[in-house]
Amino acid sequence: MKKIAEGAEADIFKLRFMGLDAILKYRRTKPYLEKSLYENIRNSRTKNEAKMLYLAVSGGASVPKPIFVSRYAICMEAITGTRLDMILAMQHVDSIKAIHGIGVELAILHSSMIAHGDYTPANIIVDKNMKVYVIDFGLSEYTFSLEDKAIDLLLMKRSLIEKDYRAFIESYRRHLKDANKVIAKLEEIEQRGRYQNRSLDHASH
Amino acid sequence: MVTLGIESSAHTFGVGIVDNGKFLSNKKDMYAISDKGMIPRKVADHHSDASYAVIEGSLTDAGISLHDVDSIGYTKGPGIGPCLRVGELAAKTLASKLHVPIYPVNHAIAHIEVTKHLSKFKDPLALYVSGGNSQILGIVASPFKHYAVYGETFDIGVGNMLDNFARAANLNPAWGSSVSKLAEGGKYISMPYNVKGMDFTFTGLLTNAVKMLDKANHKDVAFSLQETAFSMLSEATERALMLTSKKELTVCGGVAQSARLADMLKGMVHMHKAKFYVAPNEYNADNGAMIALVAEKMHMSGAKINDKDCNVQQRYRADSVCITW
Repeated sequence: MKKIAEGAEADIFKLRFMGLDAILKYRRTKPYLEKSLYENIRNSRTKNEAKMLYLAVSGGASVPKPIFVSRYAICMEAITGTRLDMILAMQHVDSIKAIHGIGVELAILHSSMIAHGDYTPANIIVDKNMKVYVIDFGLSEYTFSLEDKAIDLLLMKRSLIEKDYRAFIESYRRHLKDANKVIAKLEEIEQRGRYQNRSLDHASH
Repeated sequence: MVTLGIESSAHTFGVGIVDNGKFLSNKKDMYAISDKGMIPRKVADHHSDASYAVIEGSLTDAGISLHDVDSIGYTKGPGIGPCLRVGELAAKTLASKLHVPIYPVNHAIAHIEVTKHLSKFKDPLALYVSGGNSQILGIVASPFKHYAVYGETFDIGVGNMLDNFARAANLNPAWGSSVSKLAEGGKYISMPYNVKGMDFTFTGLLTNAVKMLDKANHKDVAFSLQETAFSMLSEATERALMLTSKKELTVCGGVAQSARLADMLKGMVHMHKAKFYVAPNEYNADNGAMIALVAEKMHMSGAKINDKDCNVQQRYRADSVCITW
């Protein structure tokens, strides 16, 4: 197997599985952390991630389909494309379709009661037709809490310029019945003071 | 080019003197923290009582007289209002007496910059951990040069959490190093672990640990609290390191004095073949030298300061500061 990427907690390997292009996401050991603490996290996150991927697929979200799962590794469908943060950094690429897409995908996840937990452009893959796929469900949760969902909006808000954020939230609002409640919760979180206006535009004000 | 910096954001009144990036002195006087934490009015009283002696001591240590000073820096924020105002007043008095320029300095930037200066790193990611703050920052060039916050605490700072726990466990003095000492040889008990991407929260962990004090061995609770909190910080930092592809990491601020935290980060950083630096404790505790260093950088890079900017701001965010050097 060929290692194709190294994340903060997992290594990604490329493989073929029954004629399909697939990847294997293996959570590394972290020898610098307390063993019992991290073993627990490592195993529960792997199990949870597989469960959330399956739930997201059932809800109709565009995510890599899980193939099999072991103690510390998940084998899933390979997604070919470019990370959204890289697309956004390119000046001449029109990314509005992808921006709408991330609103739709988040609405689908939230209506399936999944909060992603790390919903940033680095965890979105955009294919050549500007269709988006959501990846990395390692921090996702099955939850009824508005706050967990509002944090998804907050993380994305901080990574987008104002114009893109507005388009994203508009498409999210159109595709989720209870969107206004989540947006109201986001405003409440931002009112807590310390984190007002921490977006990419903030620095220019 | 001699710059005198005054720090007074929390329990420490510090005065440091810098000459072209070289530290000439770094004097401080700290409000004695008992089991009651900090009472803002009393801390401010302590600072005004201590100010004269600390300024004079710092000049003596540096072997210079007040008239050798070419510019003054002071902590504008973030910090405790009444304490900040003592430093502001002292700085303004000196500046008008000496007819030298005055520079308001962001406390977080000062911690990050002094550590960067000592490390000689080019473009590090910085984990800033203190009582009131816990943030992961790095320099970004647009829309203007500033420290972007990649991740931070959504509620309280990690130091504040350790202090609160120390008080609940009747430790004296009630701060992080007492928790560290108690934690030695403890066993791990499972505790809430809250990381969202590169951000984190500590209050759930604190509440749980305080409740556990009634049920479990205090040693084990202290150990587990510390391990959990520091693991959360190192996980969020690791994610930021990957995202930014930076090759250097510094840790700074009061909690950076923890040997366990530094060990964890060092292990993490080495796994990614990056470099790690933590400054000597003198510079991680609040101090005037770091304020002087940043004021000097502002002065030399020609930062323009309006009179109306020379105030104090309790919630002065690091990412709102333009880096002119």
